[in-house]
Amino acid sequence: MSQITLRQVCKTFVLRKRQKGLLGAVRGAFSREKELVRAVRDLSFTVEEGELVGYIGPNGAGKSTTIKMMSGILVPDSGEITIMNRVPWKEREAHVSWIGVVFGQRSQLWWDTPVLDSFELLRDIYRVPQADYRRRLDDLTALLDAGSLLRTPVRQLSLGQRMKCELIGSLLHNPRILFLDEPTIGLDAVTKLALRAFLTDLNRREGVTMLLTTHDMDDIEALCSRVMVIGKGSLLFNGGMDELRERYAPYRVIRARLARECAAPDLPEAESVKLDGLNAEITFLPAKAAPAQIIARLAEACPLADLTVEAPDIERLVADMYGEMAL
Amino acid sequence: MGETFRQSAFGLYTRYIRILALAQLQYRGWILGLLPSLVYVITDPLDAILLFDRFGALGDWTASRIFLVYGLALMSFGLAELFARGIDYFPNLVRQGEFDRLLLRPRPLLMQAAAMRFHLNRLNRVIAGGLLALVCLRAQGAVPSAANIAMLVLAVLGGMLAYAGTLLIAAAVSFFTVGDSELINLFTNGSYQVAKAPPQLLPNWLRRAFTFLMPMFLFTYYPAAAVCGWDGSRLMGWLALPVCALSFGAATLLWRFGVRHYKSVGS
Repeated sequence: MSQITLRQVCKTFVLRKRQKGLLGAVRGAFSREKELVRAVRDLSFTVEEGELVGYIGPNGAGKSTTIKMMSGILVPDSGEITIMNRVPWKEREAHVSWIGVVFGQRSQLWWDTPVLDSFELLRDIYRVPQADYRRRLDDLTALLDAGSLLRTPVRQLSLGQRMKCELIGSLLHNPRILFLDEPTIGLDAVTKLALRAFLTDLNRREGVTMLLTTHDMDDIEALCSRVMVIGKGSLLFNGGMDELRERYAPYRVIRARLARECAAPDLPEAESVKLDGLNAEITFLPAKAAPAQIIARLAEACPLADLTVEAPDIERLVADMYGEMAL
Repeated sequence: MGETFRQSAFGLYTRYIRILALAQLQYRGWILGLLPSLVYVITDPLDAILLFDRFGALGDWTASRIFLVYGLALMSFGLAELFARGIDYFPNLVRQGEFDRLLLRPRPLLMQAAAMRFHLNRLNRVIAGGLLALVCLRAQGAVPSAANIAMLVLAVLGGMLAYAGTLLIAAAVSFFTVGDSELINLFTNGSYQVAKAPPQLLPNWLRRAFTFLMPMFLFTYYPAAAVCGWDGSRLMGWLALPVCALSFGAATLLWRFGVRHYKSVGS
């Protein structure tokens, strides 16, 4: 049986609309317009132990709601969620002992005291024996190079330093599953790379299952063996990165710089040919046309100064997907 | 501290409180922070003091009687605020979505909620109320017998539970509606103001409200009356803890109902 199973999960929120201004506020105290928001509808997927899955979608697509339901914070209206053979919200305490949750935008550490105080409190909250705690803390701080941060009050940490500490805090009790909600938001490039390396390493060495939401496609490409795309509460795609490309962005682009100006070459096998002065942009489908052939015909028509073949930018691809969803 | 104690619910509660107290001690201004609430606590009974000074006793009701009742209420409220400050603060926690974090930890929610906040300056009320009650007991010539002491201690414990229960009801209500619950303040901050007036002089509905709804007179007036031998039955003096424990239990049920609502609806 899969470690995480969601079966036809639905969740609807009631939004109470209020009108602006004083009159609206007074009126709102007596009757409110209600609007039903279907945050998640008929969502089904499974995650196997040790997988590293990316969970992406535009803002408001239902990502956080899904994570909250899997963490046992929210109860779905209908459908089933089983994680490590438990129903999260029915056995809350047993369930949360085995998971770790990191919210990029919300701290789980105590703001005014040194990080170490928070860690020791977390140790007691999760009933971690002192010897295990010691070993674990040493390992994690070494991996994240966070040893010098432990005596600093949380409020004085930079965002990147705090994120490292959040990660350590969420892993002290040795969870088997880690939910990461936008863990890299607002981080600089160096810290992002360090976090990615750390997560990959943790996943390989300890087999910790990870499910992360992000808006940074580099996170997905660097980390995830599988990606799930959610839009308007339903799963639109569930598979490998290559498959995602093939399905949603099967085309390739040849960008060529011509040695001298010449007429647009005739390339019937290409999807489109754009010529702008010395720059040519040719879009084609590898399934229909061999790149070598197109390049040869192009070179025949015009001498080339430079040439690249590019797969579409994943960022762009996802933006296109989100755009389609909005229709 | 042993590991078993540290990991027990009570041990963990003290560890939560410890980290918050340490945080406050970090700011050098914490002593200054004691002052405003100390001034408030000292000046609060001034009106009653001045009245008694000018007009003397109200029938049987001398100043020491009134202030004994008031002192017991103040101490109970102070203890509740000291140990259940987090529950008082809880509605804000829900509004800011911080309650989720509590749900992510494998520990009882009520304990976590109570331990979310701790303010050293809340000791002011406990100390002021306690001193006031002691002085008044002497003035009333109460006998410090074991039974009397036990009755007063149980009464204050009951009072603490009653106030904590009231804060808990406000917390439970915040799961359903966002916004201030000023009504609850009537039963917390407002209630020990009522203690400054002799219960016999209050309108019936108000006296009943504070005997049954929020059983303040059960943990202040009746134990004081029994200990000082004013009137009424001694039995009423013992009722404080059981009745207040029941009302706290009822508040707990409402809170649980609120948690279930939160999990099904979100914030």
